[in-house]
Amino acid sequence: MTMLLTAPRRRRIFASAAAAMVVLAGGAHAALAAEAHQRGLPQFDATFFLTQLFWLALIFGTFYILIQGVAVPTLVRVLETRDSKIAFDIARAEELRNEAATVSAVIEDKIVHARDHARTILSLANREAENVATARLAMFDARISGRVRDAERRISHAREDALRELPAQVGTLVQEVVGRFTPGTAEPTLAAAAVQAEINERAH
Amino acid sequence: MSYEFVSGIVYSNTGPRGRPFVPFVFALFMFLLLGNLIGMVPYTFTFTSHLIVTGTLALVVFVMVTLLGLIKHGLHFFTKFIPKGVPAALLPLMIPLEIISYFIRPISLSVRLFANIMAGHTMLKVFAGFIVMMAGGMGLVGYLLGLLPFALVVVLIGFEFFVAFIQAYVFALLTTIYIQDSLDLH
Repeated sequence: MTMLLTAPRRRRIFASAAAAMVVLAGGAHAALAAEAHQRGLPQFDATFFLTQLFWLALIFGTFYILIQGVAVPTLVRVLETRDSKIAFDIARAEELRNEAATVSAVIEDKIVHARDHARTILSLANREAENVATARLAMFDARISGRVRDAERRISHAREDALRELPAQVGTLVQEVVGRFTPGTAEPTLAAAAVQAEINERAH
Repeated sequence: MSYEFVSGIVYSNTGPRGRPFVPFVFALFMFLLLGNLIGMVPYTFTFTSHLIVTGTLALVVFVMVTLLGLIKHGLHFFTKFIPKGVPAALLPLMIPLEIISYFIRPISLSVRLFANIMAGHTMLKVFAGFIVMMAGGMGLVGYLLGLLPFALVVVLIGFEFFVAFIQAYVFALLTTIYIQDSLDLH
């Protein structure tokens, strides 16, 4: 429909312009012929009508032709270039953003996996260390308890020995003491037997 | 930028069908705007304040719109003068009204622009005359009093710039509306 109107419309505009000019020129000519030059409002002074119409037609016609032929196509082209460039830039930005999103998703994924892996390794190492520690602890424990048992055995032996020899020692001591403080002598066996009885009593 | 402005006016009124008319409306708008603005420069001639000029342009628009309607719709064009939803009894009253309001379009279009610009410039000249009268005639008091019309002239010049834009815009807008009217309501 718009295509249908372009060329006939242009012809129509010029036709209407020409018609208007003719009408007004006729009116102006009539006014000019009828009245003399009057000192009224210059807008309505008919002397100048024809010249004004001529210059109006010339200048507006030239203006219109220039705009129709040159200005409008240039402007339309510039506006369209601008719009297409903006649309292209927006599309490209969208594209790049999507790409960045996918890449960052992949990276995120990898980071998570790496972290998991690290965690498993850490837990394994921990367990290893624990095992080694318990083993060594057990070894030391065994060694020490062995030594402790030996020492206790020695101590008990020594104690038994001491206890066994105690009565005889005490008898000898008593004899010595008595011999020093009294002129008589004591029986070492009596003192030893008394101490032995005391030891036996204490042991039960 | 101004092209986008004008094509916005055309497309918002006529839709994509208005595409062939954008250069014409654009030429019209720029021509009238330039004419109005040239007149704001001191000592220049404002051609848009002459009824011949605006009348011719309005007539061109009017004839173009009428021819557009006639060629597009044929004789069906004349149903335009029968408004919708009017009871038959009122038609003998409505139809002449519609016809008159249709034919007054070129007159209103031209006189609107012409009167606005001419009146604005006339007021400027009158107040400028006041300044000269006051400052020249009444001595020192006149000098000081002459500041009042001076301020008024400054304000009026600002207003005239505004009116220059508005009137060019209104002319272009109404042209678009008449085109749309011609394309559609027949």
